[in-house]
Amino acid sequence: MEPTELERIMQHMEQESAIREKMRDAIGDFEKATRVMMASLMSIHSTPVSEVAPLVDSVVKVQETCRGPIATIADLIPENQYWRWRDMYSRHIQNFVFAVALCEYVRSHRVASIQDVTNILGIREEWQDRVRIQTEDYLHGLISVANELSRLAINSVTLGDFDEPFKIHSFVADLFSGFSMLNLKNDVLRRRFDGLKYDLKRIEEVVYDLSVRKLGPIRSKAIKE
Amino acid sequence: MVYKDKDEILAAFNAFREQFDAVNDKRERLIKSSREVTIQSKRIIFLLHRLVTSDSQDDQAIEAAEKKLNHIRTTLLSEIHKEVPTPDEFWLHLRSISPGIQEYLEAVSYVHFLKTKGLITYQEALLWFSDDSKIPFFPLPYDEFLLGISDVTGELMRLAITSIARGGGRERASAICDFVRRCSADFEQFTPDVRELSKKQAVTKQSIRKIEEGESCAMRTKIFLLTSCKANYAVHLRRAEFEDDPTMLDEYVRRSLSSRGRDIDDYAGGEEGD
Repeated sequence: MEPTELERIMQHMEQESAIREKMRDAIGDFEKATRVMMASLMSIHSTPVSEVAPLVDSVVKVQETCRGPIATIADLIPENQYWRWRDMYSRHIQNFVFAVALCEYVRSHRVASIQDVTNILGIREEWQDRVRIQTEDYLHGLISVANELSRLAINSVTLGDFDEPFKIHSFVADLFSGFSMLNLKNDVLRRRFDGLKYDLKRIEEVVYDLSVRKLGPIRSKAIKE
Repeated sequence: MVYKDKDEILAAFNAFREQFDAVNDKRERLIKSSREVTIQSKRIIFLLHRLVTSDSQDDQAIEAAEKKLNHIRTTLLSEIHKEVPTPDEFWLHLRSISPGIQEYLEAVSYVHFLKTKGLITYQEALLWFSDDSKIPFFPLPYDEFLLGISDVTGELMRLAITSIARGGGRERASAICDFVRRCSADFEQFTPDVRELSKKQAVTKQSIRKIEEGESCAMRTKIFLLTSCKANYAVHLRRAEFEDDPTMLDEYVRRSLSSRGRDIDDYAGGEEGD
C-alpha cells in the first residue's frame, strides 16, 4: 500500500474508534438510567395498588434523564448510519421500552406505542436516520413487560388484589394476538415470542384459580345479580 | 397516543407485519444477488488462473476478466443498488450482501494486481462499485474493502505456485512473495479495528508460507538436478576408470545415491505441503 493510502485508511479508522469511544460513554449513562428504572419497577411486585402512583412518578423522573445521553448519541452518529451503530445500544433501548410500557400499564392498563416511547426519550423527527425506536426493540420491550406481568399476576393475588390478574390477562392476551400476526424469522424475537405463550398460560391459571373460587370481577358480577 | 383497545393494537401489529415482511423479502432477494455476485466473481478468478500462463497471454486474460467484472457491476451491483437506494438501508442489509462484495473485491484486486503488479487503492476499488458516471452505488465501507482485498493473497499464492511449477516463473513467484509479505505487514495494523481481519491475516500468513515452501522446494530441486548431473559426469568418468570391474562401479553409485538420499526425502516432504 502507498503511504498516503495507508494514512487515509488509518485516519478513517481512528475517526471511527473516536466515535465508538464517545458512544460508549453516552451509552454507559443511558444504561445506568435504564438499570435504575428497572430496579425500581421491581417493587411493583410488593407494592399495593394504592401506593403505585408515587413509584411510577419516581421512574418517570429517571426516564427524563435518558434524554441527554440519547441526544449525545444522535449527535455522534454520522448521517444515515442508524443501522451501523444500533447494536451498540439497542439492548438498552429495549430496556427503556420495557420501563415505559410497564409504567403505562400500571397507570392505565394500556399499551404504550412506539411514538410514546419516542416522545419520552426526546427523539426528534430529524434524527430518524441516526437514532430511533426500531420496531424490533419495541417488541422486545413489550415481551419483557408480558413476562413481568405474569409474575405480577401471581404476586397481586398475594397482595390481596384479585382484580389485577384479570386486567393483566386481557392485556397480555391482546399482545399475544398482536404478536401472532407477525411472520417472525428464526431469531431471538421469535424465540421470545414462543415463550410468551407460557407467560399467558401462567396468567390464565391464576385467572382460573380466582374464577373457580368466584373471586375477582366475577364475584362482583355474581353479587350484583 | 397509547393504544386504546385491542383493535388499535392489532392495527399496529398489522403495520409491523407489513414492515417485517418487506424487510425479509428484500433480504432474501439481496442474499440471492450477493450469491450470484460471489459465483460470477469466483468464475472470473478461475478463468484468470486458467489463462494466465505466460506474460504474453496476460493482457488477453485481463481484458476478458475486466469485461466480466463490468458485467457484474452494471447488472448485479446496480440491482443491489436499487434494493438499497439509501445508505441507511445499505447498512441494514450489509450483512446479507457482504460475502458478494468481498468476493467481487477479491476478483477486482486480483485483476488489478495482474495489470499493475500493485495493490488496488480504495478510490480505484470504489470505481468498481460505481455506475458509469462514477457515482458510487453505495458507501463502500473501509472494513469491507480491507477484508475483500486481503482475500487476494490466497489467489496470489496459487498464481505463485503455478508459476513455479511451470518453470521459468521463479522470478514472478518471488515478486509475488514480496508483495504478499508487504500486504500482510500493511494489513496487520488494521486488525484491532476491523472485525474478522485477523482471521484473514492468518490465512495470508499461511499463503506466504506456501509460496516460500514452493520457492525453496523449487530451489532444492534445481540443486538436486545440478548435483545429479555432476554425479552423472562422475559416473561417466568412473565408468571409464572402472570399465574392467563393474562391481566397483555399482558400489560407487550406491554410495553416492545413499549420501544424497536425505535431500530426495526432503524434496518429497516439501511438496506435500502444497
